[in-house]
Amino acid sequence: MTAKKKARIAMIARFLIAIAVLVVMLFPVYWMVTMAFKPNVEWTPTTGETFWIPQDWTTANFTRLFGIQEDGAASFLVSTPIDAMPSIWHSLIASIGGTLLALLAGVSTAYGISRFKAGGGALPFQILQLRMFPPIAVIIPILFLWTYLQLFDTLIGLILIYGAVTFPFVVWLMRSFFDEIPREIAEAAIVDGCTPFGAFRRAVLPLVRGGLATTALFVFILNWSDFLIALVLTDANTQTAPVFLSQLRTAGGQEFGAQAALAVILVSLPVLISIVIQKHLVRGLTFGAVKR
Amino acid sequence: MARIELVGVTKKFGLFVAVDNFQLDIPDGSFVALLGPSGCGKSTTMNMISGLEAPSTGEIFFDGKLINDVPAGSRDVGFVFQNYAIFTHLSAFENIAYGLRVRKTDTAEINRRVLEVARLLDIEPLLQRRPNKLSVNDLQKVAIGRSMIVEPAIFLLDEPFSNLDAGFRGFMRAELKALQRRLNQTMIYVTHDQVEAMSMAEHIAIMDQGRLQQYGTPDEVYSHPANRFVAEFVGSTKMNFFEASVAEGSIRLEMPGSQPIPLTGVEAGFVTLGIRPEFLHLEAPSDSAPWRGEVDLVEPLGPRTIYHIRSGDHRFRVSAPPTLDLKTGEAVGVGVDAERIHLFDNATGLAVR
Repeated sequence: MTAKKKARIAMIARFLIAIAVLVVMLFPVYWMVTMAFKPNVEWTPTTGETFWIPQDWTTANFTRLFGIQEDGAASFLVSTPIDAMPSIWHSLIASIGGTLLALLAGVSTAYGISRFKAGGGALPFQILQLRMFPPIAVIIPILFLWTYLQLFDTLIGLILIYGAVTFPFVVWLMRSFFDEIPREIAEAAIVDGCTPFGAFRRAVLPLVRGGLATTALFVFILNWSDFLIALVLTDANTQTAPVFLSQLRTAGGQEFGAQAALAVILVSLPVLISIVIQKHLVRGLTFGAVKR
Repeated sequence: MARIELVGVTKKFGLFVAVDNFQLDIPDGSFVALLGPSGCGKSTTMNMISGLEAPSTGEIFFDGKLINDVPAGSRDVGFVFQNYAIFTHLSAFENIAYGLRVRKTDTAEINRRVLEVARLLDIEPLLQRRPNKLSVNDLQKVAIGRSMIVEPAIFLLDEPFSNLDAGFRGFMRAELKALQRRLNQTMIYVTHDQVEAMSMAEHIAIMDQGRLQQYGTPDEVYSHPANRFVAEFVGSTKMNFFEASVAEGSIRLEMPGSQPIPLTGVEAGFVTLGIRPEFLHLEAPSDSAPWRGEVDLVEPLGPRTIYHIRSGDHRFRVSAPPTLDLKTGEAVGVGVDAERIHLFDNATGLAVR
């Protein structure tokens, strides 16, 4: 009886610890989401009161982000209209462009390494070395370089740097997916009359679809959530959403509500994409199960 | 159909010589097995014939035409891989149709030919299935179908049956042999299994360490091995080898109680004597028996029983009919079929008889 009771208590204890960890982990997310829906009186520190649950749900923070002023919401602020839309566009274009660039260069490099041992045994590690220092260590030299090349504060400049920074991830992820494909797959296609590139495109690439989707999403999230690079390399013309968010303050002070609303929007995009391509993600994660 | 000639073909990977000065002439429409232990260069040879690898030096001819620089897709070869190399994202039908799709054949023709091939291989009901819903046996049939469909002049098979279960392998051996007869195409079959090579091929090319050891019919390589390696590699039960000396028209072994065996036409000296277990027979122990010994181990295989015989420091195997029921420790006499004795030069390993 005692053994049974002990096991029960242990189980409950484990359960409680799990809940405690979850609460600590998820509270910031909860706070961000609820904040986005609170009217300003509930998040302005001047009232001195803490609202754990929004009392008066509103979408004013979202509409304010796009330059629409709703009655009551931020009316007490000497509010300058704000517009997050351009920054979201910049983020989208730079992230997608950077992801495509990294995939284009990275997938072909990975195939070359996996299939033909291109560059010898050291190349994969040399590529990985690109990631072995903190980005902040090189961002100032890159700023000078980009200014010299007239890439500062341009979308092309952002796309190039995003592509370069995420390229090693693409190479390392895709290489492991290509390693899973027996070389005979490409050889069979070549014997059947494909060119080596045709064999890659028609026989090998369809087999790594799942891996490709996983890699693309991973790289997109990296680019989409970048703050440091965009902070240094952009200015008014091409400011991205995370930078815009961090600088969201008006004459009325820091706009916590609008910041939270923008954060919710920024977080929901990768989540939505993951749901849409979920089928491929699962395939990507269980890739080793492919029959050889 | 095509005749294949390899002239002085060598393939090096860095300093490693995978195939060394290889000569082979494969007649049009014949079934040839490339036999050898793993790493002997047989797959590399196959890749060079298919065009997947280029020889470092040497020339390859199809029907007298030099094809060293012809790309793999234009050589008119079909290739069946050991691990099938089935495209898992396509159905069995599309896998078989692949070569025709690449050649932009029209749809009606593709349907007709895929069905024809599927009927031949007995996989018609499985055509719409994905590879992950097929057994390994059916996968290999799909792989064979895929190379058949383009009606290649040359069929290359690289250990296609090694992943199949034993019973089905035997069945497929017979099927493939029948298929080759029917299509009358030149077929090259790579294997490390001498039973597969012996049972299917008209000619066997035995390779070791990148070199051709012997090229001949199954009977030639079995009855007249060119060297000790071939003698050892061919045969279900390994050949017995003894140190021996030839003198005065007979051959002697350092084995207690052994009689000299008369032998003519061989130079006097030290040699290695080889005799297959099939050509030794057990008899009652007597002074007239050429060799004597006692039973050390009995391996009943069903159709034959293998007796391990010990005599002094020597141990050797004798293959006997199952009707002979001897127990471990029994003394036996061993009769030797002198016609079937092979002698190998101790230094070079080459057969001297």
